[in-house]
Amino acid sequence: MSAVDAWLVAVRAGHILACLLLFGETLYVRRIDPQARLRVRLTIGAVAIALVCGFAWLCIEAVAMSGESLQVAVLGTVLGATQFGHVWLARSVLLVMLGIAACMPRGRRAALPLAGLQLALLALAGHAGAASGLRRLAEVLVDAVHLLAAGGWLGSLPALAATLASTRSRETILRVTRRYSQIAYAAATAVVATGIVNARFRNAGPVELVTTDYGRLLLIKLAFVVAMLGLAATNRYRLTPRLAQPDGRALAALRRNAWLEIAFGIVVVAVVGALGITPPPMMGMSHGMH
Amino acid sequence: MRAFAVASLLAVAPPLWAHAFLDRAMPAVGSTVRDPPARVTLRFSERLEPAFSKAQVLDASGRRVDNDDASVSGDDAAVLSVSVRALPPGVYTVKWRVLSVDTHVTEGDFAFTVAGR
Repeated sequence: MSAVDAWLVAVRAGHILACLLLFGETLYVRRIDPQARLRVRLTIGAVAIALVCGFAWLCIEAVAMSGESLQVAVLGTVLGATQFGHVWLARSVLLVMLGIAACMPRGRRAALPLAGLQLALLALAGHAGAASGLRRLAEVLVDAVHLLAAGGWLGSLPALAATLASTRSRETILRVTRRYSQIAYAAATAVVATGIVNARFRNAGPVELVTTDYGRLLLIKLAFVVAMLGLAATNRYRLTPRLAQPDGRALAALRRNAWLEIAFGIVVVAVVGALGITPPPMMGMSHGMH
Repeated sequence: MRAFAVASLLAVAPPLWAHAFLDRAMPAVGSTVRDPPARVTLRFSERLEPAFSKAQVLDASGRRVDNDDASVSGDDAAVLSVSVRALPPGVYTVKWRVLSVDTHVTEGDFAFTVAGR
């Protein structure tokens, strides 16, 4: 992997993480813990990271697309004349609107739809956006659901961890973890289902998982997703029922698991950053092409 | 019913390469043609971004013999073509560099021969 590729993976991963966090945070305050308030500084910070990483992503793509050095004219052509550029512009506007909405008490109702739309539109910037006709519609929809479900699960974990760390009321913790558990269960199911369909769209069958670069990366991602599912299942079926016990051990384990799940999730998104620049397997070919 | 529709779409949909690879060309890759073509047409496996998809045709001495008007078809975004001047018998090289809609660049070249009558 060249230095430019490494940067591209890093800024893609940084951008995607910030966008997942924005959706998860806004979902958390609207649907999981209505008593929690949107953390304005965190939201603005995530918008800033998403925009900075997004701009770096645009610059690296512009150089790769044109084969020339970075020039304003090339950026203009990418923004004005390519699907990637159009999607980039629309999503950047949505991110700025989200940042503004977060600052205004009355604007916060708009935060969740804005965060959801900017995340879902990311589906048009990747492999799914390149198909044509009905196939394209199917691929983009599946990928958009995948992104939203990942945001609902992983993106809302920091808000849950913050609640677990700061809340003393056992009743609140019970209510919030039960509600989170319901939403994360649905989101994790959707992540896995759409992930399998996505892999099928990319021709990544059982053989390609082992024989191609794309497949091997996907396997690493899968391993960490399975670890996250294991933690989520432990939280839901073992720890949450024991929260009512007075010794507080279940709560301590829940707190630790939330952070562990976040750490695994960051690894997953880092791999996603690399998957986006790795050619998916070709039918009947066992080697990745570069 | 909808589940069935989605399932059948998955089952019969052709595979996607996600990078644009040359599917076929006119004149065909490595072919010998009797009549000199007016255009060289390249069909790719994926939709192309017209702004960053180009093709050139060179003669045996490396001089450009195309009219520098490579363009992606309005009807089919996977087709790129370029017009060429009157080609005398000889070997010609087509060099292409295309950007697929999912932002991946691929490039390559191939030769064809004009045999003449």
